[in-house]
Order: sequence, then C-alpha cells, then structure tokens
Amino acid sequence: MDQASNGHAPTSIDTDEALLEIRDLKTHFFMDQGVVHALEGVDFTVNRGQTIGLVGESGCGKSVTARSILSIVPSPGRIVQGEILFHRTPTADRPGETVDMAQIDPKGSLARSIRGGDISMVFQEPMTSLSPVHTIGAQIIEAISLHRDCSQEEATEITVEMLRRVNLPQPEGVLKRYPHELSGGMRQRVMIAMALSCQPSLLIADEPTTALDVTTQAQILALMQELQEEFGMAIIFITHDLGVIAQMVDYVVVMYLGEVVEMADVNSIFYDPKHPYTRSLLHSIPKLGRKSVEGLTSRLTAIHGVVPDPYSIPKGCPYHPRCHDAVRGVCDTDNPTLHTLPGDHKVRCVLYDD
Amino acid sequence: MLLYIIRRILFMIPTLAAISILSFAIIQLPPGDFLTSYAAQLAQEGDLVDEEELEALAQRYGLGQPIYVQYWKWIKGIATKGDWGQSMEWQKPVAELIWERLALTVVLSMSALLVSWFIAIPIGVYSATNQYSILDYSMTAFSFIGLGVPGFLLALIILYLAHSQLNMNVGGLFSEEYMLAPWSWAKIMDMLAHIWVPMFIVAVSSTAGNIRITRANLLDELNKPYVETARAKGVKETKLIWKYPVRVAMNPFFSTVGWSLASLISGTTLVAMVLSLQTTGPMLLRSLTAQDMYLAGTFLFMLSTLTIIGTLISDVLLAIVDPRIRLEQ
Repeated sequence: MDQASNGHAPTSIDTDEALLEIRDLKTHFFMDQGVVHALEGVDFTVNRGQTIGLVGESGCGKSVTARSILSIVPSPGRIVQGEILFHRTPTADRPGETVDMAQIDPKGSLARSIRGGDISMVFQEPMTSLSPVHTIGAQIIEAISLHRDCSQEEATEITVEMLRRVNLPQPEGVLKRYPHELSGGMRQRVMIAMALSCQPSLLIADEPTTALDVTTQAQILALMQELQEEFGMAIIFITHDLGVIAQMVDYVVVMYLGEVVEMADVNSIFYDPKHPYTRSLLHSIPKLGRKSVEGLTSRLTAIHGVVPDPYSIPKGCPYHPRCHDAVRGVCDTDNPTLHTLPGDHKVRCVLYDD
Repeated sequence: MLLYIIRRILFMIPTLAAISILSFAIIQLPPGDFLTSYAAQLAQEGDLVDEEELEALAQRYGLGQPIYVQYWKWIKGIATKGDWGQSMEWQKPVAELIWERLALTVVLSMSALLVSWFIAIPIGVYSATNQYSILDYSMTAFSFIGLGVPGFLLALIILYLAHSQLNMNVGGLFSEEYMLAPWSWAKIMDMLAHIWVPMFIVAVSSTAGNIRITRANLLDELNKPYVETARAKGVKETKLIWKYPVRVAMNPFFSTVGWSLASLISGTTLVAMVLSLQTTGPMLLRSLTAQDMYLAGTFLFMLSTLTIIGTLISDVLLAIVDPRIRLEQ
C-alpha cells in the first residue's frame, strides 16, 4: 500500500475543519423553452473526512450540485450565483488555499488540477462511464499522470496497487482489459480505483450503486467505507436510496426542487424528521412486517402527486401542492427560509416559524 | 487476428468465382454482341460491312461459342497468364488499356478522399462542439449545398468560369504536349498542376457528407457518461474531445472504406466525362454501351473484387480500432 498512500496521512484528520462550503448556490439551465432553476440557493458544508448524504427525488438537483462543485455543469447550464469554497489540502509543492469553484474558469488549469486531483467523482452508470475503446489501465494511468508527478512505470504500479486495493482479482490482467470485458460491479470498482488513485480529499459518489444488483451494491458500499477509513477522504454520497444513507453517512442534506429543505445528522433525520417532505420520504420506504392497526400488512405510502414541471415551479414553498400540512394563504405565497432548530437541525418550513 | 484474415481470404475465393460468372453473364444478357454493334456502327457510317472480316473477328474472340466456353477461356487466361482478354473496340489487350487509367483514377480519388477527410473531420468536430454557433450554421449551409449540387454541374460551372473569366482550360489531367507523352518527371509535375480542379470537385460533395457524418456521430457521443468521466478526471478539454468522443465517433468511417474502394473506380464517372479526364469511369461506361465484353467484364470483376477487399479491410480496421468487436464465431 506504500505506493498509493504516500500522499497526505489520513490519521491527522480534523473532522471539525471545513473542507467544502457551499453558500447560496444557484445553477440555472438556459433552455429554449425557458430557464430551469436547477439549484435555487443551496447551502451546506462538508467537513474533512465527513460523509454527507444528498437525498431527494429525481430532478431535485442532486447531480447538478455535484457537477457544480466540480465546475462541469453541462451546457446550457451555468452557475449564476453563490460560492463553492473548497479548502485545498496543502502538499509538498504548494500551500493550502481556498478556491471558489463557482468563480474559476471551468476549463482553466486550476479547475483541471482540482478536478480528479483534489475532488473526484464516481458516476452512476458503470456500464457507460468508462471509455469503450481504451483499456482500464490507460484510463487510470491517465488520471494519475495528470495529477501526480511520476513516471509511466510508477503510474502503472500505482494503478495495479489501486486495482488490488478495490479487490479486483489479477489486477495486472485487468490493466489490459477493456470495460466491456468486465461486469458492472467490477467496472464500478475500477471507477472507484480511478477516483481514489490521486488521493482526493473529497469524493463525490453520484448514485454509485443504483445500477448494480443488491449483492454487488452491498460489496461496493462496504468497499467505499473501508477505503474511506484508509484514505480519510470526505464523501458526498448522492442517492435516493434511504437505506444506503442510513448505512453510509454521518450527515444528511435533503433536497427538493433545487433547494435544501432539511439537513441534520443522520440520526435526527431518521428518528426525528421535521420537514413534511422528509417525513413522506421516510414513509415511502418499504418495511418488513409493518402492520396496520387491523393487523394487516399495510400499503406502502407514496408521496402524493409528482415533482412539478421544471418550467412552472409553484409559487411559495415549492412543496406545498404535495404537502399534507400546507397552510393555505401562507405556504402558497412565501417560500420560508431555513430555520435552525436545536441540535443544529435545519429545516425550511413555516411549521417551525416562531 | 491473422487466422481470421486468412479465413476471410479463403472465403473470398468462392465469392470471387461466383462474381466473375455473374458479371460475365450480365454482360451477355443484352441481345447481340460486340460484332452486332460494330456492324451497326459501320453501316451507320456508310462503310461496307465485310462479312468475312466479321467472321474472322468472331473466330478470334470465340464469339460463336456457348457462353460457358467463352467464360472458361477468359477466366483461364486471367488465372494462368494474367491475360484479361482483348478489348474489341480498342483492338488492344485489356490489361494494356486499364492500368494507366486505373493508376490515375486511384491517385485522383484517393487524394480527393484524403483531402475531404482532412477538411471534414476538424470542421465536423468544431460544428458538433459548438453546436448552433454561427460557424456551425454556415458549415451546415455549405454542407447541404455541397451535397445538393451534383459534381458534374459544379464541374461545368468551373469549366465555364475558368474559360470565360480567366481564359483557362481546366479540363483534362495533362497539358496537350504531355497527353500522349511517356511518363516522365515533367509529366508528373504537369499532372500535379492539373489535378487540383478535378480533385476539388470530387472532394466537395464527399467533404460535405463527411462533415455531416462527423457532426452527427460526435453529437451522439458528446453526452455519453465516459466523456464526463474524463472531464471529471481533469483532462484538458481539446485533448479530451479528440481522445475520447472523436475516437469513438470515427468508427463508422472505417466501415465506409468497404464501398469507398469500389467508388474510387466508378464514382467519378460524370465529373470525369465533363472534364475529359482519362480515368476509368468513362471507359467503363463506354465499354458497357459498346458491349466490349472483355473490357466490361474486367471492370465489373475489379469493382466486385475491390468491394470484397474493401469489406475485409473495413472489418479488420474496425476490429483494430474498436476492441468491442469480436473476431471469434
């Protein structure tokens, strides 16, 4: 493991020190049909070594948040407001610095050296996330050569070591294989090996297990936890699977239509959810042996209604048309601000107005 | 891979045999033969038709014999002596007639093909990566015009403009003094000076087509997740585009090699006729109308052979550039 872990030592991680601070982030997509407000003011902080879960339905802005952090928002999307302060870990060649990922040139060298080097990402689709015409080895070695000062041979060695580290059998063989020769689970291991090959201080995992079967999913999650303990990076875990959240993360950020509606540590979210949306999400998890009063197996409750059309976001609180607790004349006029409740539990809902 | 190529080449033999029979049979399909059209032509020009001469010609070419005998004579000559038969119209061996033309055609078509790729691919890549920009729109407009205007019309326009405005004759591949001269350094230089106009005309429509193909293929690839992976790795944008999506988008080009080989010979016929180029296209057409069966047969046979070889080349190239293609059965 010497080759791969000679960067920064994971033992001295101060988990109270902020690594990434997102403040009032707004990312909009300028389509022909109108402007889609994919992110409408997102605020949260990731500390060093912490695992944050980003939860919400499809289209709530989870993936756009991830891409905004890396400043790879696809056209015609653009960060229009806010700050993404990333505190770079000092290395031997340069001191630590704070970079606003929302301000720097997305194609510039600073952005490129952070991307893949300090912040890396594992994507949802292991089947299509690797280039079909380049070998596994070439793709990982490219990442290493971009960010680490080493020769081709050293990069190859690190790659083999990383492939071994993610429990791929015969890593030297895998080096020469093409993605289509590997299974989905193996490809996701390759993606993780590639993402961690430059020892990032932040790993963004965008639904890394959604496309995998449950057994493989469990293995991948276990592997990620193991690697986090070893490398000490912070993880932003994006998923709509609350089971994965419960297993993986320390702190949960719940998003709805481009806004953070609630955030708190994982126990508060699961045992004491405040926002009606979070509660509905938790109710929609199937539970074994859940019985109704009559002793019958109860029906699974789905959240009423659908996510609104992105071109016509409801006025007021965007969740009010689907909310059971909506107060007429209040919820449909003003969007509430984020309240801080005791225990640093933050929630955006009028029910908690003073 | 080598085994695969050998197997494919072995499979080519029966295919070629079948094709040679077919092409010979097709030439024989129209009523009459070369002598009929020769006699008709003589009669039309007011010459006396000498029955004895016709008889002698028929004897010489074995025209009275059944088709299979004629075919066997022809194919035996090719296989054993490299003798492609005698062109009746030109009164010369076919082999003597076609090689020079074939070489000229290949030079012209290949250079046009390469020029069109070298121009089309960068423009196509630019168009796709800057979709709906002003340059993309102008390139799109150019491509549709290029695709829409037939080559021979373009040739006519250029001939007219060159003649009326610049008082130049841009037809042909050689100046008059070199037309019949044996090959020399000076003749080659003369050809290079002339080849630009036909090359440009031939290249225009294929460039236009290739721009569209590159653009469409690349647009399909640009939003694939692997491109985003590379971007998230921190790869420089231009390098990223050329290394990943362009690389994948080029695959369909390799599969077109199959038919572009055959079109090297027959593709530029109309342009060649307008510009009076000594390429194979016009000769092929003339041999078919004159029922000059050995010449026509040779051309058809070569076109088919080139198509088969081209298909093999595309398959091998594709297998090399795209690791997903499996050679085993």
